[in-house]
Amino acid sequence: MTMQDSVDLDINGKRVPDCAPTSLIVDILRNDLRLLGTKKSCETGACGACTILIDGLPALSCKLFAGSASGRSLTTIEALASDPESARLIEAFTSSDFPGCGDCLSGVIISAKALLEADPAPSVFEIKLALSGHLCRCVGHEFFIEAVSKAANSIKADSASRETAPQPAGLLPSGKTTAIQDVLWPGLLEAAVLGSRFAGTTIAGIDTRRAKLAPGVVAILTAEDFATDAIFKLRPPSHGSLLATTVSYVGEPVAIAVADTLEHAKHALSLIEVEYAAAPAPEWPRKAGFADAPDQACARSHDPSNAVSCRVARAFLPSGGAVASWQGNRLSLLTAAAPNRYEHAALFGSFLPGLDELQTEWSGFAPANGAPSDIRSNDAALAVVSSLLLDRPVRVHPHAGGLGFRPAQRLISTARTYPHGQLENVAVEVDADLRPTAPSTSPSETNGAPQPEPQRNVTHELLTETPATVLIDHSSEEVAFCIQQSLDMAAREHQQDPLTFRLSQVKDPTTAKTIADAAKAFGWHSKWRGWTHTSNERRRRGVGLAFAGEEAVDAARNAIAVFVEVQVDTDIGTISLGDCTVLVMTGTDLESRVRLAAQTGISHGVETALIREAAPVDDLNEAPATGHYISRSMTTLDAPQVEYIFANGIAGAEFSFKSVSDRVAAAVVGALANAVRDATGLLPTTLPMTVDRVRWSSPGEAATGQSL
Amino acid sequence: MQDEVGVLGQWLQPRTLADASKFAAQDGTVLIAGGCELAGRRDQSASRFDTFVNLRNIAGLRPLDAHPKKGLRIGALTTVGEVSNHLWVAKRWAALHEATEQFSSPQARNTATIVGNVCAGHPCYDMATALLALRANLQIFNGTAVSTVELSAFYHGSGRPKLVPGDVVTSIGAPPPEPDAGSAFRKVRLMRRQPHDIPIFSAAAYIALDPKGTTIMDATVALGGCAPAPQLVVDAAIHLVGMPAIPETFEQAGQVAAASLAASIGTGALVDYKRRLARPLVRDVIEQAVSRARSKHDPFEDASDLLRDGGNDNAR
Repeated sequence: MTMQDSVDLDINGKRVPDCAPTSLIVDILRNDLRLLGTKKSCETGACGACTILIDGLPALSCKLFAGSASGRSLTTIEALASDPESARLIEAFTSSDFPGCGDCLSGVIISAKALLEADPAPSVFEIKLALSGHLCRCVGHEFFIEAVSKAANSIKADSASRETAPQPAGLLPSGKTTAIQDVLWPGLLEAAVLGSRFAGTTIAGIDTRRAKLAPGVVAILTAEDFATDAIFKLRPPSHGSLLATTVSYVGEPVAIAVADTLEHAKHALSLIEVEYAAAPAPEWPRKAGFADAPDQACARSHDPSNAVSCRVARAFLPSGGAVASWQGNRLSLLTAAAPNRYEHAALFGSFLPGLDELQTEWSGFAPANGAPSDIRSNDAALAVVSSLLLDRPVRVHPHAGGLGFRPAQRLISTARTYPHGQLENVAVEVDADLRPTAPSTSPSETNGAPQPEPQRNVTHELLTETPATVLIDHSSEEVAFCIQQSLDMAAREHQQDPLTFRLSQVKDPTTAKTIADAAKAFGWHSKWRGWTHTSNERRRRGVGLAFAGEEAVDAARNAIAVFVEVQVDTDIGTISLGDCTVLVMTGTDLESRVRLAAQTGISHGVETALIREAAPVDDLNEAPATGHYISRSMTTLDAPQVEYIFANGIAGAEFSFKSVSDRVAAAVVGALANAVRDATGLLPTTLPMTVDRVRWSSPGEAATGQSL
Repeated sequence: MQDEVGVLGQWLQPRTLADASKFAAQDGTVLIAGGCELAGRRDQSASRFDTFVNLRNIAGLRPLDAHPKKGLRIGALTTVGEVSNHLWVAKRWAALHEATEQFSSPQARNTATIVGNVCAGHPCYDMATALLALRANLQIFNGTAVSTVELSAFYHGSGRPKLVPGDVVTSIGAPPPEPDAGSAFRKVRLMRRQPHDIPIFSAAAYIALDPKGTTIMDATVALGGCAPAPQLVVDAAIHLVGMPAIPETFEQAGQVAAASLAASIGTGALVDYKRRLARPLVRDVIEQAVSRARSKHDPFEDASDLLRDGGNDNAR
């Protein structure tokens, strides 16, 4: 008998008959058996959320046919949840103070379980290796490592004292709470979000006709639908709409497809044709004038010519999804992360004044102290407004569109695929032959034809040569990350602290100090959680994270990356940006990097970024509530924009953050909002901002300035 | 939509190779070992295939023999993880070991197979790069007999494997390395520069030295991710043979490989960019392979260890 119409599976020790052999295990678990602890997330085998155990080994259930799994023993998170031995492990995860959406968690616990089975006392390195197949969109990796270590110790202590294990504290891993993807409300519609393919463009037109005719489609919503007075009951908010007409960054939502199933919604997205037009360059610096800012916004502004008011309704980080349902003026909202304060501000401050009652529930992974998550996404806002428009419950599926998800995934997946810190691999990206400056070149060498030495060991070279070799542009955040990792690796080999080691390789004391400062400021490259808020301590950082994706790279080879670091002084009397460095870094192709580096003298962004007068904050965790807050963002400019900056300069001039991009502005506002809230306990809906000083290395200055 | 793709097509589980070959000869049929590739791209699979032939129930497709004197043999159902954990693969076929260690995620390694990776013919899949440098060969059963095909002759220019309907790849293997030989593999993950760019670039080398460890007696260099199929860089290998095993030689071989790459896949920004990567990458794998070739190990001792342990030591 070779032909198989159905196969039997062994799931959690129970026989499950009559499964179609070509079904995926994850579908059988979730759809047929309603074992919802196993999550379905990326569906391409990249994220590890669907991990289960097959004969005791972790495997991806989204890449496994039932036919391949028959005759083998499958174990899901539900079995672990009822297993006293695994209780310590699950408890270690649920008692951590990491506020995440929880989508990846059951997979992580499964891999951790397999690890602890094989090795009850793993080292951190081994834990990293074992968890390297998991992508946490909320960047909780360090928490996971801590949790596994804790569980290993706890289990060890447990077996020594022979105490009975406690019951699992959290319900989420057992699949008993309702995750966004598990909701089954009657009449629920599924929404998928179309992100912009390009940055720095306007949407010249959206053709949704074909998409509207696609099977199962209920509506295709664009900015036009979202900007109606009737919906918001007030005039549209000053920033326009939740859906963009002017696109600042890749992945910015431009349309939503709502359909009966997620597959139909995604299919409809593929039929939407968007016509992009380059944003007119002359308008660009003026674009963010906020001419129609609401009246109350400027109440505290100090200097009208410098003031920037901004209403925050956009957010950057990967989306966790949301489900919204209106009954009259009553709104039920389920979000993966607690609606962050910006969403609250956006939704309930101005959009929906007629709201009578709000029921919000947070499906996410509740930290022990119940603190809200700061995972930013406007999924909740999109779901609420779509639901209002269509008068049906709407689910914006987790990670089904979202904001910057793919680039963020790229970054983190790079992090995860370099568990060994195999950094020299990536560092070859840095081509020594094209270094813009060679400070070590002696005069005799400059006379003859330059003979670049063969690049023997890139890591070594990075450590010993001028930091000019470290170029970070918007497409190579991952490279930056990896370079940092390689430095760490090399340092470990030399048994030194990475920074100390690197400094020991630099002879020139001025350069050494610059690097020391830069490393201090950019420690976030080596610490994943520096990217986002992952704990209460870090919540106040207000990190804005922006990426430009690969499409942007293709669209604009001359694209320029801008790195903005803002230090916010939170003395509430004068909310001001204490110090700010705007840094242009060169674009994607090496030649233009070098050319621009020569023009501006800013050849190595990392080290240059820390030119600032204010004393740097040593440890953000230690920073007092009224201290300094740092927000960082990165965005892209096109060539005309850069020319504008070069031609007109920014130092001392009117400079609106919006004029760089609203992502930058929002990053700044994020930091401000956090600062204000921490200092006053108030939730700001609009913020006055004054740019005290923007330090800018103009080409002229840089030419005479110190070479770093 | 869920229901529409709920059942893809026929699922066959033959118990003999002959049956598998018979099924594989039919149109719209695909063989499944680990199933990662097909399950991962299920929608495409549904449109391309209507019959799936699962090889799992066929006996004899799961060997993993790695003997320093007899060579390496990896069955069609042997997973990447099993190869990755094999002590002797790590010792004597280090390039393959390194490739498996960097393969995807730990979960994928537990189901994906080496042969599946090689037969998928995807330019990003790099088991073939390491195996190419190790002069691997495949055993292919065509319904009546088993033939042996060199991996270097296995791919069309388009990157598709040269298999005809009815062919079943039963194993992939490599000859035993010379006593004073070593191999290495390295891969670089890249940012995509253009649509359809291959975001992985890999290199592998096998180097055999004379007993004194000073002169290169035999060499292969392979590159993956620069063309639809992994390629042997013959020019670099020719350059290496007979040369002293010193850094200058490795650097020159890197330059030769870079030049050869430009000659074989044309010019342009993309090529230029990969060519720049090729030089240090090739140089480094050669250097690493030479270092391994010189490392102190006694092949006889290896063999006696093997006899004692049975060759299946899964210890790290």
